[in-house]
Amino acid sequence: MYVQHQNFRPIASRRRFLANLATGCSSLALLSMLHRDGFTSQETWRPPDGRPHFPPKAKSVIWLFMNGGVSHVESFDPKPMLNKYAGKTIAETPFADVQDPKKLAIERLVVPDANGNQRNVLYPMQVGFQKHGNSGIEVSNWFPCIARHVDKLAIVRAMWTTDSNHGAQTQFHSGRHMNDGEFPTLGAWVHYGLGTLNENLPQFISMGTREYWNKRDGHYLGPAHDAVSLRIDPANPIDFGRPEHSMSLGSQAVGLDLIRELNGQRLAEYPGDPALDARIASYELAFRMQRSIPELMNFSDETEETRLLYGIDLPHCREFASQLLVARRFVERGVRFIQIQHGGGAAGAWDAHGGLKSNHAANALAVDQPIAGLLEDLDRRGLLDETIVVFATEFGRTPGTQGSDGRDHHIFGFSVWMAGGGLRRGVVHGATDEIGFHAVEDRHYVTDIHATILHQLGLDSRKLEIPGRKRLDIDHGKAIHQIIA
Amino acid sequence: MIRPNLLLAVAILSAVVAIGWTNGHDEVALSNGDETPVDYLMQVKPILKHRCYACHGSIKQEGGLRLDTAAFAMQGGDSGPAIYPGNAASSLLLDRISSHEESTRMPLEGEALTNEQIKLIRAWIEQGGAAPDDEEPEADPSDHWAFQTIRRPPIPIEFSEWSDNPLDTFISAQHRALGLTPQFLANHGILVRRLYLDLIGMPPTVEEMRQIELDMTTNIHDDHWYNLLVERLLADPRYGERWARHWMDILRYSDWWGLGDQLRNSQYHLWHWRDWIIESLNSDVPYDEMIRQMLAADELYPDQPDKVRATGFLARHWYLFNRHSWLEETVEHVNKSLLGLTMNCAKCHDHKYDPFEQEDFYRMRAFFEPYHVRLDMVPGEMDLNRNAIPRVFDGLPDQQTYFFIRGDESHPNASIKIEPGVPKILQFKDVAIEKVTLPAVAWQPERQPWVVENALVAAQKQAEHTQAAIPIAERRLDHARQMVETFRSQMVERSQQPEEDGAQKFEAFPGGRQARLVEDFTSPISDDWKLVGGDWEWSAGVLRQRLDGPIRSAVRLVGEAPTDFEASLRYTLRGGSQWRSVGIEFDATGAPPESALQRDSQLVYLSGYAGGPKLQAAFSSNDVWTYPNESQRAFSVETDRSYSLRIRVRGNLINAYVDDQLLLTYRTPRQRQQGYLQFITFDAQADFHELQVSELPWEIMMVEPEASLTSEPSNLVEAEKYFADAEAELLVAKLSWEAAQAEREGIEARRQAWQYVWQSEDDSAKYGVDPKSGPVHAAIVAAIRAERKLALARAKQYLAQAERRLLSSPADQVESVKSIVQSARDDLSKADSAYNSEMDSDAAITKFEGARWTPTRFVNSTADDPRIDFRSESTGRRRAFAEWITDPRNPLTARVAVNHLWNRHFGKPIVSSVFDFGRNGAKPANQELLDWLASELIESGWSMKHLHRLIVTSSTYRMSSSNQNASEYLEKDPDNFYWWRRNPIRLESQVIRDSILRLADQLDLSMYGPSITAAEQLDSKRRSIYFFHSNNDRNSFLMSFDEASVRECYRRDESIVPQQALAVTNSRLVFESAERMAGVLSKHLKREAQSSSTDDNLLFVRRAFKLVLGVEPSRAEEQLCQQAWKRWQIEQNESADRANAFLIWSLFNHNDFVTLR
Repeated sequence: MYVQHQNFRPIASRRRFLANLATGCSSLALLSMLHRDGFTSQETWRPPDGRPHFPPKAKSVIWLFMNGGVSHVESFDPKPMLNKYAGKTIAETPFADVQDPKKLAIERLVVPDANGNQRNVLYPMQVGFQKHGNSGIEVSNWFPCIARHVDKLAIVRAMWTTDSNHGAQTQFHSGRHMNDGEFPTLGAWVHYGLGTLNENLPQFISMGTREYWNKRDGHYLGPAHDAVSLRIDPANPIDFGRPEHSMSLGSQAVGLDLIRELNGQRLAEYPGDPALDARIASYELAFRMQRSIPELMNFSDETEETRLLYGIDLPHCREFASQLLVARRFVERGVRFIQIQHGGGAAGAWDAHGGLKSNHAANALAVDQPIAGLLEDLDRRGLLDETIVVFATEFGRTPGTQGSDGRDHHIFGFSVWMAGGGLRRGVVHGATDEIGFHAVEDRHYVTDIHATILHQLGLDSRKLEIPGRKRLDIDHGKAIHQIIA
Repeated sequence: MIRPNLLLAVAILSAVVAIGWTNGHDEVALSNGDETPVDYLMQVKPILKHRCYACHGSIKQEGGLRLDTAAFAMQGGDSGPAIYPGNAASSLLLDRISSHEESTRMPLEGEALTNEQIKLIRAWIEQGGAAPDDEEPEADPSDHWAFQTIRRPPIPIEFSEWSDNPLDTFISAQHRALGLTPQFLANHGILVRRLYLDLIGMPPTVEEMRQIELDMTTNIHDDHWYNLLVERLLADPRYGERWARHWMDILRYSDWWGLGDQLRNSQYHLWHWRDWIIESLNSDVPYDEMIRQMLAADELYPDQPDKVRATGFLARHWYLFNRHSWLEETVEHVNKSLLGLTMNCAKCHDHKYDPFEQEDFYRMRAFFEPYHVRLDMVPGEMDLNRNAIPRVFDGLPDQQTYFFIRGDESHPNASIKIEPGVPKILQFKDVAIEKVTLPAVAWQPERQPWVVENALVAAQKQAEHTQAAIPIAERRLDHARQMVETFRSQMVERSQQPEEDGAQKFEAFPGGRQARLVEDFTSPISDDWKLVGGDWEWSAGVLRQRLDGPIRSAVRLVGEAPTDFEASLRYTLRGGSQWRSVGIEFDATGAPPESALQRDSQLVYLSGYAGGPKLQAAFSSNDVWTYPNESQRAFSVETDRSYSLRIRVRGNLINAYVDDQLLLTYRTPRQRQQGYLQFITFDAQADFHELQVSELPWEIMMVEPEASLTSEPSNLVEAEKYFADAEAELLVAKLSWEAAQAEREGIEARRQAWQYVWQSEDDSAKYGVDPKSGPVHAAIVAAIRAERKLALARAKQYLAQAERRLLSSPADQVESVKSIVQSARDDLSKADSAYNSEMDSDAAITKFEGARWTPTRFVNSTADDPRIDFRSESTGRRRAFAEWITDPRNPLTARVAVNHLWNRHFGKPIVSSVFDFGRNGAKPANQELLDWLASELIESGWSMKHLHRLIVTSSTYRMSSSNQNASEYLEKDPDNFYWWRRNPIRLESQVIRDSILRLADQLDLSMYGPSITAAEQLDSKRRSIYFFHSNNDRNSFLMSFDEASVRECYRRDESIVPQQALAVTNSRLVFESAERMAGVLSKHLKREAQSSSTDDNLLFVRRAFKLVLGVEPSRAEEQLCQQAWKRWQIEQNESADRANAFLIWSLFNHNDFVTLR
């Protein structure tokens, strides 16, 4: 049973049950509203009850998203042919057929743009690769720390998507491009489907820069399924997380007692009113949240060794390291989904249209040690088995050069990796062609990552569908069983 | 037996011969042993309905096959029977659903059926394919209830005290049928609160409460006070605001948003449409007329800007990058909001549930295909970025609508000609489209009288502005003359005093003579300033900008800045991802007021960019920034260090000091103009400690770029140079004034000429007069002459400016400045000869700009698309569409509207799928009632107030929401499907905030106007409806209470989450309001105290309950409050006033405060 509540009294009606569930950070939102209106009485649909559909392998997700588009050929998918044919146009190489218009047809040019053009002159890899671990998987020299953990990773090298502008950031999270309208993101679906593991904390958390894409997650599932944004600032980590006024804690406590008792009094006139119960419980949860979140932001109970492990002492990675350490602390306390975006700037820090070498080297430096630290820390605490860590980005970058020293957006093939949560360790799945242009072997659309994660969490996205909101097959994706242990 | 290798070939042909076919290619367990009886209705039919009916049911019969009854399935289609009862193996249905070939597998779209489902169907066939004899086929789509004409149902005859309103009789008829008894009527307190919150969106104040109590006691008839109150509230202007917010949800109002400052969605100044909604509701403009105006006021009332505001409804769909997304959203939401149709489902394929073909989607789109968006100038504001009316017009009348294969915009089907049209089933009349000839002011907006007026006012201002600079320059010249004289006399004296130390200290202004504005942040920032963009946080002595990322934010001086000024800023740089720039910007114009980034401006800033920190003076024209090398000084900038940046600006000369060191002297080439002065950060987090702005006294010596940095002339040579410069400056000032006057005269002359032109255009249209007749020609010639005169005056001014620059150019720049002087001289001679040359007969005069097309970027995301012109004709398509929607015969419009009204009054609609009245939508809980309300709406002349009145005076509305003593009905109808009690409603976010402020007597009730930006919201006391509402700016308090989604919000969510508890317990808004309300209430009670014997404290509790919750407290509640009150005072040692405030604070946190009982 995932939903437990101290005040759980015998259920008078199904609505009462929903209301109690609601206090676990779900909501009496549109869905139960539809239900209560009888809209669905002729259907078999029920809102989720917070339990997985089948036995889960993982409990939590840490979703790391590199804003702007990481070059796959300089991170996790080495392509020696780029060096061999550097400076040649693609047409002059044996790989001319990658530009066959039929193969390029998946691209949806929503906005004809300076971006998304053909980049014909091959650009050599700007960094070397080395084999690592027992698996001997090659990782670029910009990620030396992650490389030490390569035997924990399941790298999917054959990702593809359809939109070559940064709306693909939304696409990676919801499966749909911004122009299609707005759809719930993966975190919102997980939140909607699974309710809560912990009653002291919000279950879906967002940290880092989220400028480019829409700042909401729940969309038609309702704002109650939006991520709660946190700042790495123990003094002020969450909106309204501390009093903005002069009431002492003691006086507040008297007030909160009074509120609870007054609400309780109303039950005489409204016996069994689920909203009253839910309201009372939501105040209790809020009070606990208010206490526990700042505490989570305070690392004084972490050992020096742990802090150094994440790189908190290093100015270039302090911020990301803090976010990751907070993420681990949340996971430890049973929070479901933590979404962390790395890198600000108009379209995202990794958007290296020019100066790719210095751009990626600096960005990698900022994330490499914190991510490695996170993997190590989760693993030694035994949390990696039940936590999925995802390293994702909206698309890869072109094998050809843009300008003199950059790469353009590239949707036809790129890499994403996942670790932990019952996934296979130290494997590479899928492949791009010899110049990293097209995903050619075991190709996966972005929602396949969603399906894989949901599968590990014990959810079937088709069972989460709600009436009147038909999802397409491609929205559901297919779990990548080859990387599931 | 067919051999396996033939299977594929046969399967590809759609007409397969089923006889003798054995299912050899599926591993699903065979029927033997599977004897559990299968229930067709419960287990099989739902699968068929869900997956097969769309193509094999009443809408479509692909292959001649229907599967909506077992009999149809046996009867089969073109390929013979689909099932053979008792013989699953020979049944074509089973074969097709279990095929492994994608091309033949059914259903063709979507996932295959699961093994479970296939097993069930197989077992059902094996067991004989039993089905009820009276199985009804799927209803004909044309029989669907919502597609039937609305007929006024007879009112059920009933004699009851409860149902004295016709509406109630429909409800009570259902009650009788089901054995339900309605709950008692709510008590007066609850009713009053209900009416106030429902009709005007805020609770009554102490005074309003007193009026109601008076009405209650003076009106003998029980209901009279209630009816009085209803009328009073419906006539209250706050009604329009309250219900406008509902309609803004449904019509998806959104202020503009984009990436940073780039407009990508909706339009600037869309609040004009919001104001139109409020006004229309308040004056009870008929709903059908509102729809007509929103869809086509530009065609119906082209010369009435007030009505054209309504088309903001369509302007809101504007999208910078993609026309198809824009129009698809238009079709989707026009249908969902006004017609309750999910037409969007037919974008890629025929509708699965409703009788709409895919082509219907594109026919619907064709109505909107020609429309585009523009901003129309308003009286009193020349700058369209500051204020203008966003509206639509038909700019692309010849644009063909294409049918997209599978909805894919990259695959248009050119062979199908799409014309505007409506689905056949809703074609109760021909949609006749007639072109509309527009009056001249509509397509030549420059003809609106205020357009020229605005230009004249601006020119007049410019003239005054330049004139004012002349005496200052004269004084400076005098000063220079005196200085020269002094040095001359000193030379005569030959005094040999030792030279002063050359280092310049920053000189203070002569004590207190000049007006100086100082902001040191010891208290929250004053009204002299406005925060724009960014994430600002004040604490004593510091204003902190916390937002990271390449975004601009500003502290803007409210009101006009002096032309020649000194401004300084003391700040500490805290961070920023890359550029870390902090600076002082002036002459900034060109973007809407809520944007921190202006299109034209001048800027001096310190940048902490790691690649090269510096002090820089820069300027932008039309969004293009120039960072001249010569106005750049390398300067080390570190984080967590404080800097003082001071600039002096006189005319085009800028002196910039960092930490009182003169670092930069620069003459900006950009023309000065009036605009904002603001202190900005870009990609920088910074603590501001102090700002100062003052007028620059004329006697302060400015340092020329070429002068050595020790500035005050220290010898005769320098003094003479200074004198020469002052002379040149005076000349520039005089010529600038002349140019400004010429500009004003030019506008006058152009006005004259245009009026002749317009008149003759009108006459020639009427009488066939030659538009180039004598007087017209003369006026044109005069205008052209005036324009040339202006060009000449400008050329003189520029030459003088260049020559002035040359006077003091350092040696290494003399050559380049000389060439500037030369080209200015050439321009002058050109302007001169143009002025003196003959007019050619077809010379054109410059147009006034009365409106601006909002440019899109469909072709390339970095450049605007070619301009779209305004035309004298509109296609009339939208007018025809509007007439079709609002025709009383349209079966959907009125039904959908009354359902929305009902939902927003009762928290629960009659048709719960409020945007889907199609066959997949919900059935109405009470169709008679819905139809009766719909015909009331139409027959009342589409009066919404009539409907409100009917609803709120009904017994159904006035029932208690209590479920006390109702266990029997809770059992029968636990979800209150039949309205035996009222549903409690969790109040909307706006109502919660407004109510808190209202009870504290703090709510600013002023109406209308530009939306209040995120930065201003913190301290604003305006109603929440006026808050900026977009994807860029979200108010965290409103967000926690299920704020309306910007994309679509047909119903509000009613969540109960801990964030709400945090928002109410912790926010400054709530606490300060509690304090104020406690104060207000105490004052009232004191005034009453003489006449009352009740304990003060108890009276306070009772009154507070009444005001905040609408009820009298029970004895137990009184005691709880009094206990808490004591604990605050005794245990917590708080004053009585504070304890009162805490009590109010607690009541604001009460569940029933955020609930409409």
